[in-house]
Amino acid sequence: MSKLNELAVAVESGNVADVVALTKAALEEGVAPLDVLNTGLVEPINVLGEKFRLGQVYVPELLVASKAMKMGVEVVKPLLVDGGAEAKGKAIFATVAGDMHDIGKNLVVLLLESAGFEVTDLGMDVEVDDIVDAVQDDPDVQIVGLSAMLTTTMYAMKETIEALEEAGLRDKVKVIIGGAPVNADFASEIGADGYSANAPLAVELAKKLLNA
Amino acid sequence: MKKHNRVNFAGQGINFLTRQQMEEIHSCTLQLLQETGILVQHKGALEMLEKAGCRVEKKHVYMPPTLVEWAIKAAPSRILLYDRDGNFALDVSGRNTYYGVGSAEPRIIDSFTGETRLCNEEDNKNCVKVADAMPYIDYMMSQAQVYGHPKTSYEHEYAAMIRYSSKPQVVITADLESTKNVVEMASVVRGGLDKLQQKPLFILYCEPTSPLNCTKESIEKVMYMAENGLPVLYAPIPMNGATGPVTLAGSIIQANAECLAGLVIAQLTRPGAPFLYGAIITNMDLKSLQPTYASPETMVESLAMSEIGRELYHLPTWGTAGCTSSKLPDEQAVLEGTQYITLAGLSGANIVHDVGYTTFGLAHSNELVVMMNDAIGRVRRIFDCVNTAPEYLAMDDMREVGPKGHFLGQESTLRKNCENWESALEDRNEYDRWMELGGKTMGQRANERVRDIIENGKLNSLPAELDAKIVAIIERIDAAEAESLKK
Repeated sequence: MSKLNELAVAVESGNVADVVALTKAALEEGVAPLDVLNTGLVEPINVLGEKFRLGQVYVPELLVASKAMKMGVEVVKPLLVDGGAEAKGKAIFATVAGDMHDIGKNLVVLLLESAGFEVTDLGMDVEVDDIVDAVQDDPDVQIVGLSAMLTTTMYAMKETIEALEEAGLRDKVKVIIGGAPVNADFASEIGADGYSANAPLAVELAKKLLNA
Repeated sequence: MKKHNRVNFAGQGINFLTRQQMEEIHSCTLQLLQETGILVQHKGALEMLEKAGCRVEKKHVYMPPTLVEWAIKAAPSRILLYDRDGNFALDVSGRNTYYGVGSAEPRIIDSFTGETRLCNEEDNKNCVKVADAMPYIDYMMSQAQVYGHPKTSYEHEYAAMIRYSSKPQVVITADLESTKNVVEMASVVRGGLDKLQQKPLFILYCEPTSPLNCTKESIEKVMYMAENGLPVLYAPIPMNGATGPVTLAGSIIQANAECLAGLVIAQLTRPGAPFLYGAIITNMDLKSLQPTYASPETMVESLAMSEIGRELYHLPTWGTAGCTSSKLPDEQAVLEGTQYITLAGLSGANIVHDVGYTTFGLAHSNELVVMMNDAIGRVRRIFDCVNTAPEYLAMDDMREVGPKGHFLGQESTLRKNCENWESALEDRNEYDRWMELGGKTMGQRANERVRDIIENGKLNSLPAELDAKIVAIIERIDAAEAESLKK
């Protein structure tokens, strides 16, 4: 088996320990950096993502594999002329003000990153102004993801959308929401662009909204 | 998906009786066998019992305590069962719990029409096919009783088991002749009676008739198996309030006397004969006048009986679970079946039978078998209890993640998640996804699984040469039956 194949297998099986060495070995064998990136690192994640969508693997398998991929990317990146493949899209995520529940939001962030998005995670209990500032500061952001776990905090999503409108930023981004108390009806009621009931569907939603 | 293989509870296990209560029940049992005695409808057995020191008046036998206690000590503490291919399968001893289907239901709840009707040869085969496909069903037992074979339906049931499943078996037969036919079929597959004795494939089910009556057929079968050194069970089914005293303790004492009478006869026939101890004790519902089969009382007294077998007598034990008095594989069936499976596992009965039995034994449900397979999987996971080996304490993980982090991306989550139990039937999706998948109940999913196995599953068939021999035996038996019915 070539080093490139070994690398792909290591990434898919989440073999964090060997990825850096295998990435270097593949480069030493003379494989072009872009091929190492695409075939050795990104492709196995795509394969795993599809398996996850079909319910054949669990979340941690995908996440540990992503961790392995990122370690390999760090090695390859300096060798790429244009810094490598472009991200599928850029997003900002937050659990809204007053809410300290972030495991669902974290899952979406992790899956989006696995799918090739670049994501800025603002954390939990994030004030409306901080979200608006983050969108303002980053000219490339295309998606704003908002999460809430409580019926008492879900209306902060509406306030956030209103604040984005006031700041003249609403048309720049697609706003997607999720969390236990909300649904598609609530999303359209507050003027969001989409709702997802779970993390894998959130990835599909983001791709659809950006035609990515 | 990981299969959880642990067959005994890693925790403390449950007991329904104290040591003192068991001793008291034992004393009362000896007193009952000595003073009230028991009927034995078999000439050879009566002669043997008299010679061994029993007082015998016609068919009425009064047993001295010393003989009963000798028999308890003479029997082995375990039975080792092997599968059809000769691989070691079940260590029937201690608190090891094995679950199997059963037993000999005349009707079936049709998985395609929903109708409850008499069983045919096709059902017989399909029941074996479904049970064989279930990873947590440890052994086969006679299931669908083929209608139209008044004398030989048990042989038909056995032929299906041995032709289409490699699991070890518990077998019901009609009489001595039918027992010999089954032993013949098993010997053919093993390559001889001596090989069958060395690696037993099945335990023969026999029962006395409560109260206190050892019938001729049942004793013939017990003696035949003992003579051949093949394992047998002699399980009474007293119904509290009807064929046994209404109290739990009273019926346990009577059942104990009935079962031990079978044990004495087996040990006198051949000391050291393998014998499975236990009973189904079930209260009759005194409104409907039907046996309950999975009432709380039934579970307590039947499992208490197997507890006496293990704790006091050091014998391998018989048990029941996964069955119901409900007429359908419905909510009542799942409630009764699951509770019984859990309790049987925690109490440590060895050979637990009747998974899939509805209508107190009158109708078989493959859907219930499939759902109870899931319940057994749960119980097997529960058996594992809590692993406290160093890496399971996860101190490094907590140090690494700290407050406000998450464990989803930890390598330990990846490595250990697969040790969690995963259901083949439960729905764990969020609402929208569940609706997308058809918004089905567990019963509907179980039905789909059964139909899929019946329509698309592969039969676990015997090699063609052996299969032809079994078919030839069945044809011979059928011809003899047809001949005798003509007369």
